[in-house]
Amino acid sequence: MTSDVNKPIEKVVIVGRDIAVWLSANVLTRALAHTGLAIEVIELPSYLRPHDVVGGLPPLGGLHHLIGLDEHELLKAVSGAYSLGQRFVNFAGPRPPFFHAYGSHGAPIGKTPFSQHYIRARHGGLNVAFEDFSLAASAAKYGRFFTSDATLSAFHPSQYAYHLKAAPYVRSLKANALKQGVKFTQARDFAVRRDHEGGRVVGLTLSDNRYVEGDVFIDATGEEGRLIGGGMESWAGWFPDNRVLTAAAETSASPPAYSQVVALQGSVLHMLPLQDMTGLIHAYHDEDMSDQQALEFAAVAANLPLKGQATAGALKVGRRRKAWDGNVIALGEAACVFNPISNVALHALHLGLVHLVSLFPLDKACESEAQEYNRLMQEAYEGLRDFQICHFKLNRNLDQTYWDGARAMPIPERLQQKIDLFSACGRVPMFDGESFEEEDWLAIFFGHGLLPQVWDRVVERTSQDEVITQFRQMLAFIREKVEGMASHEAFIEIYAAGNFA
Amino acid sequence: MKTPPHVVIAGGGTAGWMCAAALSSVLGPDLCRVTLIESSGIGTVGVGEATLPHIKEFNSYIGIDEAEFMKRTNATFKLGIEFVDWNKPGDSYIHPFGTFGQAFAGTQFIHHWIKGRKGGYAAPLEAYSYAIMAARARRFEFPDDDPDSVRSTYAYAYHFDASQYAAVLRAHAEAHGVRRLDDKILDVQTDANGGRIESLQLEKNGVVKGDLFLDCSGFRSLLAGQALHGGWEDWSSWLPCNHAWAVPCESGEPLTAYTRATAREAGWQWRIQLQHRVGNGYVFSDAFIDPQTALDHLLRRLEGKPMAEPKLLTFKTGRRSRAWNGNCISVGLASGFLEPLESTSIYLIQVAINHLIQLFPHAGMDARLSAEFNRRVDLEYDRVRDFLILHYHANAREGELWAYARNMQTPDSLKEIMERFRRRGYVRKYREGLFADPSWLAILVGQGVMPEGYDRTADNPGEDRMRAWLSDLERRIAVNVEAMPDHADFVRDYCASPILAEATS
Repeated sequence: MTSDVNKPIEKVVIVGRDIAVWLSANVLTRALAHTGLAIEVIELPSYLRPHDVVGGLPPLGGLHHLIGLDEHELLKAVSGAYSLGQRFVNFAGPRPPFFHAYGSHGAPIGKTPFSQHYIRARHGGLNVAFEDFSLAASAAKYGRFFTSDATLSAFHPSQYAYHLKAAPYVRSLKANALKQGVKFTQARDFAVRRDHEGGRVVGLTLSDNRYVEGDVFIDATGEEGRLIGGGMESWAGWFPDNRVLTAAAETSASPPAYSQVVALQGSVLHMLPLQDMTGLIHAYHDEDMSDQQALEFAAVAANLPLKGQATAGALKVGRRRKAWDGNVIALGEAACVFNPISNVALHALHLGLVHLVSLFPLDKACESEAQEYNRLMQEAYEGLRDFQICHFKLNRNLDQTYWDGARAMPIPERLQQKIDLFSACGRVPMFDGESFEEEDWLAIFFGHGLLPQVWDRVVERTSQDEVITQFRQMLAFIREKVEGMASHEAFIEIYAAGNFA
Repeated sequence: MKTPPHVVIAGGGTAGWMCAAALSSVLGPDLCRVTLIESSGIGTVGVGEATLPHIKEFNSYIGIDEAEFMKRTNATFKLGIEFVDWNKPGDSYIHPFGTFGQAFAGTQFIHHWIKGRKGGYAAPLEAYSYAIMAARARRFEFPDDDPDSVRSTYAYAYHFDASQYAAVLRAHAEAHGVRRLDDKILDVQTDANGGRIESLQLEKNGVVKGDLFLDCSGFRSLLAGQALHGGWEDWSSWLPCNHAWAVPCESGEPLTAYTRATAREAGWQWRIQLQHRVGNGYVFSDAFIDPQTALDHLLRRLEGKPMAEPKLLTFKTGRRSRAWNGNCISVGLASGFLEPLESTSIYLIQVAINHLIQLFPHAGMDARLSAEFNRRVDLEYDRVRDFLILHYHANAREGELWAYARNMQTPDSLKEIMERFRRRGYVRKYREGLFADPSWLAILVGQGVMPEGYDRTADNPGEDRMRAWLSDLERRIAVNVEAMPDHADFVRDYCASPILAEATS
């Protein structure tokens, strides 16, 4: 039998819908179309509703730049708003909310990191929140927005992300891909044809009976993973929710430059402001409330008038055991479904694409690439997941069944190692493939109220007076910088305002 | 105020004195009291004369002046390691402390290079490494600060006299309050369970109690091994060398700015050139050659007159299962042994010290701290292990040892690395630890593992553009290297030891 495994890859077929399909089309076209690779998109009917909103993490801006999507034009088109981080509300009874801001906190003193000096100072009576040493958190809190410049270098470049309305975002991505000459077909549905051994996909028969062949297939069909098959590893045991409701509310008077996560009695509400509306994503357990109740609770908690319709559906968090199987690579929800508590799903898609480009199969014998890709993506997906679990695990809402349960949940070993080491000495073990950095973990550990009992006592070689002076200087620097910043609203007005009348 | 914890270091030598100097200067007397016990009657191994660039950070961290320390240790600069005859007789390649080329149009250099080799227009890999070209030309200067300059694309380390380095560290440590006892450890007292060390019984100074014990006693591992019976992972089936003859000789070559490792019938020979002599050694496995024959070969191959009696060292490759066990941390050879093929001994000591300082048990022993310490240290050892095995495994040499190494089962982690590199020049990136991708690239290509394919994105720029870019890069490196000072001149002007100064005056 002759083998064609060493034949080069000539054509990739991207099949699916919405963001996953069009972001993949953009990235693969930019990276590979000039190398003679044919790319064809099969677009399935959208699942998106007018109230669907998506949040990114800071690296998204770089990706858009790479695929040639102008940020200001995009934000105009999608009613986008900037984000400097996330604000967590009611995660610890009556204690004030806290920020997980994108960026750093304080500056090192001597040879030890700021966080160690901070722990010591807290034990010495300092009553200033960790986030107050973050330029981004302070700007967000006061309704300001900024992009980095040289005068801020002492605090490292702060970074920003944005919130986008999903349906127009897809339109922008699609237009951008088509501008680059991507070939695409719309189809209501399709059937999969596999080779004799039943393993590799050889082609798709579309609902109009057209047959599309390919060497490699990208499955961007969403949760059901129509091509990829194989099993999902459920993450249900790590999270207390199994249902999600999506709705839209009016904007607040001045949309904040952050997304807000609110712990309700028995659920979590994520609010993502846009220019002309606020996206609401409410996650809960179906034994605790009906969908109707979920909508009512969300409206009350958001304290904003609802607009348009709401939709509810099952939330089945988990990871495809093999995101790359044979000649099919699953991206987006076909590969991994996250809890909606934070904006990691789009970032996970971004990572999936980056690794796919760097491991893009040379020929049909791509088992070695598949193994490496699956290992990298497992690390990446689990790293993002653990960051989410941490918010549930560290809540301090006592005597509330939902939250007591979340505190009692078992957690993955790596997360336990992080919490343990932080509790022991204020440092965080970091593993390969993680997207969130030590800074992010510090922000949420301090934010959720953990305070290590012990610090790196090397910090004591700096006198207390010197530390106080430096802390004051940092706070003064932040105050001065924030006062000089434009408001988030003004920023949107100048750079991103669309016309949504 | 509570008295600070008492750290007792068992053993002088490089490991013991590096620990003492770092703890005393970084933590200081308010945070720990340090006692070091060494016996002037027991010799130190001191084969670690070649280092990695990280040593610079260590020295500046604890406040050691570079030129001064180089003078005192007869040090020279090091830009990498030359491997002679490793793939097959007649071959030579250098593992540089530096990069190969740079990414272009979003694609890593390696892929442009593979494509260029296939197309017949790219030069051999080393032409694109500034560090290698400088080393080959025996030149040296400090790297440029401007990240856009090709002169910034390398780092450097040192060759030095390890016993003199220990002396420098000792002076530094004693100035920072370290108490040194010249004594012999007769016995180690553990608690009832045998899981913690309580004190050491010394010949002259009686009983020394401590809170934390650092086992720097070398291969003997008096504390972690003999007293606590800590487990040991044996790696000798992958790295079968178990002996080394070491002998210094007079220099017969102009001053080289690199270490040389030459493959031999049953192991390899090192050459480390200092200002006043050349350190040599034959690392071998006695399963493949008898020690006397190995010594005869070594002496016959010296470039100059021997300057001391040859010393035979015996070792077993592997690492301690738990470097931090109870209240005892093994550092240096007591913690693990990996042959000095990639000059990692001092680096691994340094890693243990950095992690110890970050995870120091200020509030007493804590299993969370030791678990993290062991995780980090294990990761380093395991990666160095794979990297060393690669040098042996991928070879086209004749001889029993080499046939054995070629045919042995390697760890899966290494198998995957080789397979992916051979397929498409892929090297996985790690968050931390040795070795970064240029190192893997140097050894893989050097050992004859040539990639068959490359990332498709390398086809983006077009061949004409890549031809021009590659030849420009090669030219920039050559021109800049030409303008560098000679290594010997640089050493003479910057850090000549009294011996060198006298010899050249």
